[in-house]
Amino acid sequence: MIEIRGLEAAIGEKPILKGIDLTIKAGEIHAIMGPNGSGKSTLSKILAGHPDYTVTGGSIRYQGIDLLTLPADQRAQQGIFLAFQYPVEIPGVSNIYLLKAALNAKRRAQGLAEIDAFDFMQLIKAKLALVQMDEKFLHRAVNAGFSGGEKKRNEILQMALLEPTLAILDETDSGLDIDALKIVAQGVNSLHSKDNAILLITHYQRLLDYIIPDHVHILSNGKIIRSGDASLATLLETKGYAGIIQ
Amino acid sequence: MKSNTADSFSYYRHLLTETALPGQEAAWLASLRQREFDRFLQNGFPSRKQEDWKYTSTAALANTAFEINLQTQPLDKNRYEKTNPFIRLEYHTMVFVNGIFNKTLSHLDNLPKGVVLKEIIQAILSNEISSEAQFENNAHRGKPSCHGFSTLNIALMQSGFYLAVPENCTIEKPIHVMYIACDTPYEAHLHNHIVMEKGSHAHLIEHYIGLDKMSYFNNVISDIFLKEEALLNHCKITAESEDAFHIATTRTTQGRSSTFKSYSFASGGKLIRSDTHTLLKEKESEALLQGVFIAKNQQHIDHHTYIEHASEHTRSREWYKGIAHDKGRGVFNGRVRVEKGAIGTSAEQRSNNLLLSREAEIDTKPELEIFNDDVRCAHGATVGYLDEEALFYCATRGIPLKEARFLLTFAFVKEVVDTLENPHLRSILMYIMQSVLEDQIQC
Ligand SMILES: Nc1ncnc2c1ncn2[C@@H]1O[C@H](COP(=O)(O)OP(=O)(O)O)[C@@H](O)[C@H]1O
Ligand SMILES: [Mg+2]
Repeated sequence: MIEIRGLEAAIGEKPILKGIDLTIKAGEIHAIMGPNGSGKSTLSKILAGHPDYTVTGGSIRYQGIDLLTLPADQRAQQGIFLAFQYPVEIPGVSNIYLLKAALNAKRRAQGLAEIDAFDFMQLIKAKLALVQMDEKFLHRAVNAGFSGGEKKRNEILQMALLEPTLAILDETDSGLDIDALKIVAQGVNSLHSKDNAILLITHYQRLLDYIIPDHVHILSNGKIIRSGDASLATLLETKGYAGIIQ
Repeated sequence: MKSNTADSFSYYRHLLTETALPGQEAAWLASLRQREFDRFLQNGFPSRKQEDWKYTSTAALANTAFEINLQTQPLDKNRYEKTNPFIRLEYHTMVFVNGIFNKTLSHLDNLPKGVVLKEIIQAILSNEISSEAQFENNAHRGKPSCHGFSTLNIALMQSGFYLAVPENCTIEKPIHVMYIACDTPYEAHLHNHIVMEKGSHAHLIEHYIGLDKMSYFNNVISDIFLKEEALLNHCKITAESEDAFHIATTRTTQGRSSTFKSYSFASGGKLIRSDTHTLLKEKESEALLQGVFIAKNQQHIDHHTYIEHASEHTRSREWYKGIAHDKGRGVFNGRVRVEKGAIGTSAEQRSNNLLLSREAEIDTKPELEIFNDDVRCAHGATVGYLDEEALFYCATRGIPLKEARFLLTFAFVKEVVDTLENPHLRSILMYIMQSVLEDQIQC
């Protein structure tokens, strides 16, 4: 589904990613773990198409296309979804408006007609139930005044609505209490299928008790220094980053 | 009007001496006109040397020749109905075309008993306004709202409306006064006079709209008198043609426990200057001023507000939002004065501004003059661009940049539109603002 080869990237003059190779196939769940500042969010933003990062080397192919040539909105329309580590607040824009605009943008790109208001309400209510969110969140401004946990759930709500092909979850677990974590994990698991893939970015092993990855990669200082199966996360838990990176 | 020279004022003098202006049968008006004109001759148009006019040049206006229209201007009924977004709501409606009252298009049948709403010259001729003392807004004399344009307004006043709402009367439906500009260029000196007696309530929409691509000049004064416990919702919609000039001053004098809610929505025009000055004259009176302006191309839109807290426990709150695009230029200047005796006063001011292009400019300035210690004052001003991270967030949800820019810009404006209490007015203004913005964000 996606093939990242020798990816190097910088912000301004400062190199952050220093040669990343990663291949994700349909149906797989990958986890990237790494200490703070290792470049996890940078990788996720580059995949989503953030204009501030410069790719200085390497390539990304996604479903046969050169991903780096597409602007962010088209990547999203092609099925890439990023759940932000820090979701952005948009005062004045209601959640429901954004959700509908997002769904319709995707439908237009697929050559489908815009969804009618009634069908949309039915659909979004089902998705709200999935992440156990109250309907009142639809009418609040996007993330404005949401608690940390509410913001993260709202990201998963958007994911549930847009049904991405490749979902990148950047530290969706951080800031969640154990109950919220379980809800989010259940939501993500129920959205996973053999046709899509998930890239989980996390700092802690905790999330991986609920969403079992097929592959785990450890990112340190802009490079993947070790890859393995789910047991690598457990090893990391006992030895700590220092023990593995040394 | 030709230029700021004695020679070009001869056209005005001619109008005055030939008694071509309406209402000259009222001797007090003829004499007042003459005195105001003399005052105008002394001072001329405001210049940028004056603090209040620092950001706004009137040179282009002074150098454009217009003629004052004194004749009824025909306007096709179909065209009028398309122009009036409130038409289906059947508000009490007064229509002026190129500065002249159009009775046929107006709709004034169902006003509550005792309410007077008529063309101002008619109100003078029928003695509803019967003296200079009654006509003049003396409390504002010598204040910043008296300038070259306001003196000229009285000297050359050709039309406007008079609204008087009797004691404890509530007018349920809004009153909608439309000033439509079409077909031929003109200059109009429009004077509105509004008296809200004790305990009366009304909702007034002053609506200026240009239909054709042409240059014209509306020079407006709205004098508002709010007696004890009166409440006026005043919504001014300025949607002039792109080449138009619009200079307007709303001057309010407030009695005890009265409430003035003012909304100003301004777009279009080459030059718009829209001032709201309110004197919180008696205790516990309150003024809530909101505004949105959207300037694009080479437009210049300037809002000056002046709130005088002259008595104890008076309150004011202001919230203005400005948007400038292309080479558009916006100004918000909010002056607040709290007098010595005005204890227990609270004054709050917010000015938030959004630049949509690198060449756009908005100047915002609070001016606080506080002469006692028992005051709660707060003000905040921001000028910035659209939030890049919010745009990126929208993009990652598949929303194209153009749509995202519109979404965020509209959200910015919507916060102020949402403060309108009347749901119909709110949705119509959303619609108006939306079309102005859609027209605007083409990148
Ligand atoms: N906008 C930015 N400007 C400058 N440096 C940045 C910026 N964003 C990230 N960095 C730097 O890039 C490195 C990687 O950051 P990030 O990808 O956020 O790490 P992680 O998500 O793994 O904690 C850090 O050293 C961080 O300080
Ligand atoms: Mg991070």
